[in-house]
Amino acid sequence: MTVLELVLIAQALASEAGDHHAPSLHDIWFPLINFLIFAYLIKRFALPRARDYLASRRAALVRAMDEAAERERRAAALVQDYKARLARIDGETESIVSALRADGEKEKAKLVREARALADKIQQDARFLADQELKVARQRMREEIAETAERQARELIERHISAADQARLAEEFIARIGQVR
Amino acid sequence: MIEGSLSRRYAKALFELARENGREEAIERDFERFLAAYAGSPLQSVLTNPAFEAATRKRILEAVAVPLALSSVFKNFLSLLHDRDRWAYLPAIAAVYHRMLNEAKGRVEARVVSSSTPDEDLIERLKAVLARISGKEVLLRAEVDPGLIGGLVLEWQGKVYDGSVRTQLENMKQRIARAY
Repeated sequence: MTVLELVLIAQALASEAGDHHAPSLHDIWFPLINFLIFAYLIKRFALPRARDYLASRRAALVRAMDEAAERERRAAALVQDYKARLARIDGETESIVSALRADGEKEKAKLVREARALADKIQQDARFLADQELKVARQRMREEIAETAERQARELIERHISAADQARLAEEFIARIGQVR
Repeated sequence: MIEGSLSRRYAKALFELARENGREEAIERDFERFLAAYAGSPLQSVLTNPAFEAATRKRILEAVAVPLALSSVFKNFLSLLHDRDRWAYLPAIAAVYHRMLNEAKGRVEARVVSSSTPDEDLIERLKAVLARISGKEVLLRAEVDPGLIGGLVLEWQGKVYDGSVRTQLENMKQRIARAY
């Protein structure tokens, strides 16, 4: 149904209305034209803008939804990563504890070894010192005994040596010298 | 070494000069007399003191030579030592000269020490033994050291033969101290 048919129908209905003063055709044309201009303007300017607005709005919504989906995906991946890390932390903690324990054991063993070596060295030094002191004491004792023996022998000889002894010693000495060459 | 070499050169020169004149023994006696007057005396202090003029010291030397009856050869020798300022070498020169004289005369020196005065017979027998061994006349000087307790010690031809009781006791002490 076109606009012209709508105008003709409107005139027929208006003529059938009876005895009232029927509006003239001129009264219809002007609003019609006015309406058509209005409709044209709407179609020409408002509809494209509304269409563009709706299209851009739709694109923005689609983009926002994509971004949201991407963020959701990243968040899910991050959650997954953290879950995996959390799962690994127990193992890492265990390995760190084990490593620390092993280091501690090594250090302990090393300290024990060094302490034993030091103790051995101290013992050896003490033994050496004791031996040395014993040797010195023995040597002193020997020297005292020797000096005592020498002193007593000298005193004895000095008391008892006679001219005859001296002569005999001299004779023996001369005899020994005679055998030198 | 330098000192020894220098002393030998002076002693050898003097000895050869003395031998040419047949005065080796006389020079030896000159040495003995002069050293007896010189060693450790004011004469030594004066002759070696550069505070005195050299000419003055030489006149003193000539004056001293007269009462000591030094031979002209020996006086000239002392004068040479003085001119060359070699007084410090005089004792060493005397010792070398003494050794040269003994060697030339076929004599060797020895020193024997005993705890008491040895009798002449013992000395003579020891000299005879040493002469037999060395084939030379032995000039044996006897000394007494009561510290030896007994026995004899002989120094001869640069060696010491120790037969003293003191040394035997010392050896015994050392053996005890080492191996008791």
